[in-house]
Amino acid sequence: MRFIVRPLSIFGLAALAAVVTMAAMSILIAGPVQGADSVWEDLVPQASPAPQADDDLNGESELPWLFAVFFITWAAFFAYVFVMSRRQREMRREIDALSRALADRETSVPTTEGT
Amino acid sequence: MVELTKVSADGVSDDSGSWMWRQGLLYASAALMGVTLYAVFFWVPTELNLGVSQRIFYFHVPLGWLGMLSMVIVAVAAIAYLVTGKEKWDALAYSTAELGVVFASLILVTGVIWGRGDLGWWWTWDAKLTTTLILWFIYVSYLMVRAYAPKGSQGARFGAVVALFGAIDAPIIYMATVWWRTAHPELNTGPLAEDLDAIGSGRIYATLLLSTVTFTVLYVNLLVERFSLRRAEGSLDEIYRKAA
Repeated sequence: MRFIVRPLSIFGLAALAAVVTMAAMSILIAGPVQGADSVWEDLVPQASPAPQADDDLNGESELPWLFAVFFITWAAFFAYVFVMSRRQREMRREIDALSRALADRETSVPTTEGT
Repeated sequence: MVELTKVSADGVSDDSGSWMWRQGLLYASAALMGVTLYAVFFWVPTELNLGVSQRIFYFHVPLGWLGMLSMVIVAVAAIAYLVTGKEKWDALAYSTAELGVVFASLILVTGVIWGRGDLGWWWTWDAKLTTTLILWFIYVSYLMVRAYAPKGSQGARFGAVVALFGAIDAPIIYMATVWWRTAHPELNTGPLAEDLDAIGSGRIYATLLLSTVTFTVLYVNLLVERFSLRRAEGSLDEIYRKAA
């Protein structure tokens, strides 16, 4: 039984997932992706003037797809950690029940032997 | 009974070394994830042709790498269990398969969304996508076999056979764009990537590496927790068996 998970690790993972999800949502809702510096600086070929419309350059129309991917990824991790923590809770309940049953048996055995 | 006495009432063991190590892993995950978020959303330049949605790349590629790696680990652990008969290998195989389902599902979902955003279609039956879907089915099959097969070594043996199919599929997924014409972009990471320049600027490559390391640390973190839980479940089953 050396490998039983400490509850804090699970809750820590859940907290990490929640914080990252919230951070991503706030970043994406506020729209600072366009604030990334050095946009195009490495990628635009010198000879071609990139004739796209401003919306396309900023990627406004593609933002929901990025948001969807980020949200789903972290929601999945969060759900998985939640399932793990539920399993752990159930197991802890079982261990408690077993401990009580063993304790009851230990206290009842000497009494039976004595009589 | 001796084993139970090592467990306190809240199910916490006294193994402080393991506890410290796992906490360290958790903090490393959190710190790396923070840096990766900054890099993905603020530091890396927006790719010219694909625009903002190209940033999905920094999630999709690490998820893909870990989804395929999981199946190889499942197969190796399953074979190790068959050879040695040690429970820890079976626990590792099962835990990795469970985590593999999560990652394989995310590869498919992120890929589908990216495809819809950039190419205009949700799904096409090309080699890369189809072999990835097969990998997902193999993971699910493995877990179903383990759930419905008899408990103990027989279930683990059946599972090992399924895992071997998965281990064959994983390299096929990686090579799919080399062997067949596919709608999926060509290899630009890994040992067989022909032209690293195709990936774009140095910042894009650095962010991809950072993201891969971050997700790998998170993966190890989740795997350690699931592995521990699985071993504890196994020990509890053992206690029930002995008590019965």
